[in-house]
Amino acid sequence: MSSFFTQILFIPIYNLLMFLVGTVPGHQVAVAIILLTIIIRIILLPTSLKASRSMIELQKIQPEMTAVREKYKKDQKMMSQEMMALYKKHKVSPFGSCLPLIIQLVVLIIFYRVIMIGFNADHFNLLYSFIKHPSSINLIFWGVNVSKPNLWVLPLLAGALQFIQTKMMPQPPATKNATDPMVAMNKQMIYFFPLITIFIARSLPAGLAIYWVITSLVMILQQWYINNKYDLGFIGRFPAVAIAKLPEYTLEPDANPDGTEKPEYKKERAKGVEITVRKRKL
Amino acid sequence: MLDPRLNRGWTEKIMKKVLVATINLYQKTLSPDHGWFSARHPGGFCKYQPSCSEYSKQAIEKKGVATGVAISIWRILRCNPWSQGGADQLK
Repeated sequence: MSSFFTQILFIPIYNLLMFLVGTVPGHQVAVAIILLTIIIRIILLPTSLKASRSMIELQKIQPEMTAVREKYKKDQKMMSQEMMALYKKHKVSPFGSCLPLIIQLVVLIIFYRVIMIGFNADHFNLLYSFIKHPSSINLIFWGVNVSKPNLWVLPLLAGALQFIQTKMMPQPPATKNATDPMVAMNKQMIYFFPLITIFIARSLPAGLAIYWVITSLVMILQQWYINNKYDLGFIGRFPAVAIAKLPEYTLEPDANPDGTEKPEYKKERAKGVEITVRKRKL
Repeated sequence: MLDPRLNRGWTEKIMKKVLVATINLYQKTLSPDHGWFSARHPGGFCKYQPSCSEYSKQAIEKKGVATGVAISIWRILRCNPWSQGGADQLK
């Protein structure tokens, strides 16, 4: 199993990185890592743009979604039906996919392994025959050794960029009954998450911190583009919604007192009977 | 000597507990659907319903570790930018 992953994931990325090291001027490993990170982000660009767009579209209708959720609190089936109807009405749906998230994590692990085995000639036997062996490998980039942890500059930069990036991601417009504990949690995490980033980046080789910094940088640019497109400003703020305009989160008069509403299955059943009757006649 | 079958049941139990605990930890922290940043994604992040982590948790709990992990991997592979998404309950 592990050799399967080595063959299919580790060796191709090792080759690509070594090819870039051999191609870039000065044979800088750091420059190769930056290039490879940008290549990966470009591959993921269409999907991640689409995901941020769908996120904003969904945030726009968040008040209505809260209303539906409140109304069908006790009837999961009706709730999801009504949600689907709402999505259809506004022509939106969640577009986030989990695979790109996993891919980013896997790339991080592979980078870690590549940096850990070191950039020396001992491992050139892993290179494909058509990849030229780099004549020299330069690990030092602006005084930073890519294979050793960098204690301050890169981790702090990664944390700061992570903070800006998280801050820029839009948040749903405020709603009347905003008692969701996750909203408060989210606010704290904007500040706490970059700190975790700093501590993790301090303990990893500087090459990984570079990957982190470049990823955040590209995502900031992406978010900036999206925010401008939706007129949300650099920070990604939704214009304040007047409270009077928000839908009322109350039950409809015909609903059951416990917040459920019985869906009508009658029509479907009648159809089924018709079909069976016809079949018998044949 | 312990009966190897008994032993396997024991490892399976531990593995299941560890995996479910890991998924729970993920859902409480980094998960965009259930964790710290879930308020940002009002309709949920994952295109499938239930989300990948919830689906995997149910799969591992109901079908055992080996089968559960296999169908979880299959679900995550399906959760890609080119798939349709939508309701997808564990069968």
